[in-house]
Amino acid sequence: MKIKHYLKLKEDLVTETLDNGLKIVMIPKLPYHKTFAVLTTNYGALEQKFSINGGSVIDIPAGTAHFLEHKLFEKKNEDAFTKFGELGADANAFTNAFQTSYLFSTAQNFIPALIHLLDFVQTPYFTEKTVAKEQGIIGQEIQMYDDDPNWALYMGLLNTLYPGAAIAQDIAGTQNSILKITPELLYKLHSAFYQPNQLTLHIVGHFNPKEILAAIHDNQDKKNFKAVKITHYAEKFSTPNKIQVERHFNVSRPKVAFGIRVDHDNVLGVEGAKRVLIVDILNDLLFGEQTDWYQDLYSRGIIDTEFETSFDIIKSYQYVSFFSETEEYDLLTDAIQGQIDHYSKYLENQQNTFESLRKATIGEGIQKLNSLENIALQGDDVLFGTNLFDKIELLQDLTFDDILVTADKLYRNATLQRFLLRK
Amino acid sequence: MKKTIINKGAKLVVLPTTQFKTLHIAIDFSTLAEAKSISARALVSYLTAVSSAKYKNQQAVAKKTIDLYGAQYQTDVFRIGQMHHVRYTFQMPAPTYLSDESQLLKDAFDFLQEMIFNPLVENNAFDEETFLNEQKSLINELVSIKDDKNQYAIAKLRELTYDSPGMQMAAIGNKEDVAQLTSSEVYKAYIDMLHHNMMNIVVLGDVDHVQVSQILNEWPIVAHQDEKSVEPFYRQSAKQQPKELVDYQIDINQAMLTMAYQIDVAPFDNQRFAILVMNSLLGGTPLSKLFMNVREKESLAYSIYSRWQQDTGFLTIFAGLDSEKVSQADGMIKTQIKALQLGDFDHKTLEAVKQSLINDYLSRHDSPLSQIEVTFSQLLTAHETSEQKWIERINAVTAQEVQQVAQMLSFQSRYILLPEV
Repeated sequence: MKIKHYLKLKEDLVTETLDNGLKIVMIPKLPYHKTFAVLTTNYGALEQKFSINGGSVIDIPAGTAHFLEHKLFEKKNEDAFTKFGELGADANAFTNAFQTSYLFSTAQNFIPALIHLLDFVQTPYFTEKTVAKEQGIIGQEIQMYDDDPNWALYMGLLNTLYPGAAIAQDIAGTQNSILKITPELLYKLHSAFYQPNQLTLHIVGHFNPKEILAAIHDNQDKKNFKAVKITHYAEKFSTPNKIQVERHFNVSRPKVAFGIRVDHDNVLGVEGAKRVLIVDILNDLLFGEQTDWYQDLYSRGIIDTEFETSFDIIKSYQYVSFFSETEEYDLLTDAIQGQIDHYSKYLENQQNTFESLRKATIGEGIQKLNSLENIALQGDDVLFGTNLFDKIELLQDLTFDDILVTADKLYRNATLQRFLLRK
Repeated sequence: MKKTIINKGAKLVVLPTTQFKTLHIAIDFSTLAEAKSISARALVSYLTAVSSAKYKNQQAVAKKTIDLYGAQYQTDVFRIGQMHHVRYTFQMPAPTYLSDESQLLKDAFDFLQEMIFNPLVENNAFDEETFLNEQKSLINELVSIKDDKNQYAIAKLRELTYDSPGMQMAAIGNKEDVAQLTSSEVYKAYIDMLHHNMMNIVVLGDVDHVQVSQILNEWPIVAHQDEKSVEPFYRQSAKQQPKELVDYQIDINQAMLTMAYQIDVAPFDNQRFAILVMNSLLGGTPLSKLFMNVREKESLAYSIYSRWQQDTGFLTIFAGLDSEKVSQADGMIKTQIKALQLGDFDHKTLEAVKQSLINDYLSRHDSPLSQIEVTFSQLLTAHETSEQKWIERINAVTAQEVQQVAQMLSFQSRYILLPEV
């Protein structure tokens, strides 16, 4: 059991890796009433191919990770979800591009609920019948997303930046792709991506680490796992073929998204976390609410408070994005392009603003620590191996020079692409 | 709960705690929801979010919140029961986590005082340019309600269900009223809010009561006459004939089925515990009949849930589903209600939903915003149930009591949104 103290933040991080490879991360917060636990595998929607123990390459249809997540809850005689309910715990699960997580929180019966979490995730049960039923249910879920214009906007942008790529596909897949899923495939995926050394268990809240650890040991010692060697296959990206794409949709006001793809500059681990923090501040410097640029567009009614920027690194994908609702999308296009063209001039003499923004970002990081869910889920553990406390420490050390260097990487010769949703 | 009266005009509650890493200040102005004033009040909240005499625009406000270590300042409008609220909320990192910042608490209060009491005004009207901008923003917001079919269906059901215009309208007003308002009319609504609304303040964090009262005593809070107190929760008499409406919308694939049932019971009647349990069994949890039977077993809906509103006396049901399954789902929902009325539910599920309610209740202690919300609600209703008593009452609810309150459900309205073919 290793303990790391974050003195300034008054937080302790307890970690342990079991012999079978299961990684456990515990953050005790004794004044809290609840405890939150989440079991995560690094397997998400982006995985398109894999092989096990040097065998042949197996294709994974779009939507399979999410499908597996749903199916894992269904057991021979009961639904895993129901048992959480009976214990008074709130359970949930989600799949994103790069992870699948199973979680619950409760103010009572924590250990029985935790054992149930480990048991249901580690005990697969897939049959032809249950797979067929799920194909119907998820089909409806896909449709539900289709009705949401914000979702259509986001997926539209990703498809413009990365045409046909895995990231541009719905996490739930399509009605057709999920029909290719079989129980056999699900068992194979489970044996590979759900073996203990692929799983991390986060526990945050009111508990005693020693007691919890003993319960986990006890549970895992009773189980036998066969080690499986996984081979991953990286995706090759196509080049974007259109600068501007438009789709008609029944929205009351046009919704527009912009993106800048960052290629050939993979950053891994802590460097990735640091890059995200730097770009968030860089984008605040260029496009934030405190800029003349923003105020000018706001007072001319070209943007409103819905305007936002974002920066994502997801494995080899790296992109800046902008979202807005506006009739004046052409003016906004020019305004963003103008700011990018002159980023270097604009950043001159911004040292003081950088300092204020750095402090504000630290302050925002501290505010996030109120929530057990945030601590367990928003630390980029899967992508970069950092937690929320690490991110605050990284911010302490950022310099204005970091901003300038990164600005060149992102915005020199950048191509701004646009996706528009309108009537 | 210790209350202090500030300048004969506002009630203050301080919740000292070191559980969180934040400081919260929330200020609430509430009054009876009236159709004629809701839109103007919504605009007040928009204007005072982005401007004051000192911080003249969004940019200046943003700069200030950045300097306050990434503080979050926002305004909201909403309705609880029959009261319309304008709420100012402020959150920043607790000064103890920031080095050398003894002035921060005072700075935070000064900023809020400026935003609330010192608006950007000229000749008894909000600054015209800011006004026109925010008016447009609010209209945009109102128009885009239609883009979210869940939100839209909820709004339409509300219009059908309530009798009083102040209850039918969205808490952010309506488009026509907002478009017609002038800057001086909105200023009048603002002055009216300061002078005649009930004003409550909740401060949560590593602070003490004395320190906070001292600061607030300097605020220009308007002394209130002893106005007659308004019953905050809403009740209306049951409709003889349920109201129903079906709409069609293009570009959607799935339908929405929503309905409202009334339970004729006073807000703080002892049956309220049984009603909470009954709602959990009907559609309030994943163990509920609607979720287990309509969604899981019969696959008639992708999403389905019910919600009990103690503040209005209505239990509402919302389902997202395929349009061809609407009538089947509707029948199935009625069957589930019937089952509760006949006492057809097992003991195990009954106990489980009680545990889940208690779990949710205890979890509120872990969120500063929930604690603030609970405190406001206690100030508003002058009603407080201790934690121990609340848990005891939930645990004591019997199957027979659940059955009884289920029998009181009276169908009032149904709104269906279908894809246009």
